[in-house]
Order: sequence, then structure tokens, then C-alpha cells
Amino acid sequence: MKTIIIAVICFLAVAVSLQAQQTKNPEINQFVDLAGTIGKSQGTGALSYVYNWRIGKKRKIEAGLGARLTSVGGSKLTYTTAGPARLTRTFTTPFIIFFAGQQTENWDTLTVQRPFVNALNVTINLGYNFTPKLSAGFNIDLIGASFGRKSSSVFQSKGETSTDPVSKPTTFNLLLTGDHDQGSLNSEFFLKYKLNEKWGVRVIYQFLFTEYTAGSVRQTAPDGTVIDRFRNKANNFGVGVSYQF
Amino acid sequence: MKNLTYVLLFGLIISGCKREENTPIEPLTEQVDSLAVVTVSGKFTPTAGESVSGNAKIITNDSKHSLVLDNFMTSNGPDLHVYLSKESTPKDFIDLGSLKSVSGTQVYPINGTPDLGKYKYALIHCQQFNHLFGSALLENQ
Repeated sequence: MKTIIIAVICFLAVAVSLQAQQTKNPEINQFVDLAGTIGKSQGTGALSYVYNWRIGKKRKIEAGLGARLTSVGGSKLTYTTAGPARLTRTFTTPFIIFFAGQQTENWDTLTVQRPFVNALNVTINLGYNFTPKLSAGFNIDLIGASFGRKSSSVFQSKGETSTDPVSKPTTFNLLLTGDHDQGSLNSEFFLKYKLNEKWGVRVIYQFLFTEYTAGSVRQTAPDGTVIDRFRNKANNFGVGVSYQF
Repeated sequence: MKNLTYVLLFGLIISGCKREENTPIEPLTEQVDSLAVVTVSGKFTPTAGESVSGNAKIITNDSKHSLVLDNFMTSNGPDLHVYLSKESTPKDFIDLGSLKSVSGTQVYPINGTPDLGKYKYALIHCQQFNHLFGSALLENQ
């Protein structure tokens, strides 16, 4: 982790020091991006289209919308109780829920044997152009739908283990923040370097939720709530390639 | 640049899709506690298309329980696990771990204090593909 941070800082320092003469950026930034990340027992690929407006006097700030297809494959991934948030976190205020503690005593686990999820979502994108070549940004999925492979799973609840023959990706995706979220949602922090007018490369830190819905097994919470959605959260590193229109 | 990108991304996704390896084929001859008493035992019956034979028995010594596979042989497969199960299918079970070998004598400790009277079957199950290889009904000696 330390090596990665040092490498990123060096990348930033070199790129800034090599900045070309400042010119005003175009009003619109439109591009497609292909990204791949790797994590523990899973890999992802994502194809995005982004349409950003550049704002501010020097047009260094970017904001806009896009669409993204994220494909996630893995093996024996552990999914834990997805919600409701009042059962899984210590407080549930939207946005601030990121800082809430986890009520792991209410978690059951669903180990999905061969997960494969494709999430097609609308995204919101933010960016800042340090120089004409170097920029940083953040994007997050807002709403969309998922499809993918049904898989058997091993369900563990209250010390008992059972098989769920058919778990499947949760269909509807919606960003509501933290454990209020539904479905599979991708988000990235990234640094981008433009190689030339058309092509750029990115280094990515990804925060990814994928969600499976159990077929025949159910968790029954202490208050009687019946739960069939389970979530895997992953922090992955990766790279991307952009093509500018 | 484009082709390299596609190859890299394909490789990244595939690298996350690992298929578990097949079970070791070297026959095992693990030591069975000679002071332990056999409480229940049964003979393996294969499911259609598989080949499983031998015996399963639960042995007990000083409140420690183990499942022993004796004269055991199974066809091979990925991600084979040994279960103690309440039913002849893996609906409600204790996972004793990965199968150590496709043949021989093998001992699997049973941790905790489960009510063994409820777990009447020993199962050989491919966990990754949810495929049952064989089962043994455990009956009182």
C-alpha cells in the first residue's frame, strides 16, 4: 500500500512539473473509457461513456453524466446481509451512514460460489484538470439494472450452514448511500494522464458493491424482518484507457 | 494500443474467475485413534454418474468426535467437501472441510458440540458446482 502511495505521488510530481503551456480547455469533455481492476478473488472490467461540462473561469472543473457497464467475476465470494440499514449499521442518516459502525451481530453470510454480475448504470462524474495532461476525478453509479449468472451459494445463519441452489444478481441498482444502496454499484477515484489528443491512461482506486439475492434461503432478523439480499464490498486497484472524442 | 487494452482487461476479469482444483489423488492412510469408540457408521452410495465407495463412521474419544472415511474411494472433481448433514442432500450441514484425497483412510475432526443425533448423513459434495457425489446414512452400531 505504501509503495502504491509513493508511486502515485511521484507520478503526480513528474506530471505537474512537465506541464505544457496553459491553454483554455474546451467546454465539453466527452470520452469512452475501458478499465480493469483486480482484487481478492475477483476481477472487474468496465466500459464507460462520459459527457462532462467544463466549468469555472479556466474550465478546470468538470461535472457530468455518463453510462457504465461493469462486469465482475469471482470465485467463492462472501456476501453479507445487505440491509435494511437499521439492522446492519449503528445509525442510518444518508451520507453520514458512511461513518456508522457495523452491527455484525446481525450479519449472515452467503458465499456465492461462482458469482458473475453485469451492472449497467447511469453515472455521475466529477473531475479537476491540474494541467492539460493531468487530471483527477471521481465517478459513481446512480441507477440502473444488473444481470448475470445464477450460482449456488453456501448460507450461514445462527451457526447453521445450508446450500442455496440458485442465488442470482439483484436486478435493480440504486444509490441511496451506504447500506441503503440497492444492487450493484461501482465507483472510482482516479488519476488520468493524457498521452496525446485522443488517448489517456488512468490509475484507479475502485469501491465496488455487488449484490446477490438468495433463491430459497432466508435470513430472519431478531425483529422478524426476512432478508434475502446480500452484499459484497470490494476495494480494488486497476488501470484504464480513455479515448477522447 | 487498443488490442493490448482488450487483452489486459480480458485477463483481469478471467483472473478473478478461478476454478477450484481437483482433489489430490495420493491415497491417504491417516491414523485413527485406537481408543475411540465407533458410535454410528454407514456405507457410501454414489449419485448417478459418480463412483463413491467405502465407509463413513463417527468415532468418539473423551468427548472429541471425528468422522472417519474408511476404505474410501471417489471419482475426482473440483472443490470436493466432506459434510455431516441432516438430510441426504446438503440443505443443512456441517462442513468438515475439503476432501483430503480421493482414496484411503481419512479423519476429519468435528469441532464444537453439535447434536450429532441430528446429522444422520456423511456427504461428499462439490461445493463450487453444487453437485452431490455420494452419501452415507450413519446408523447406530
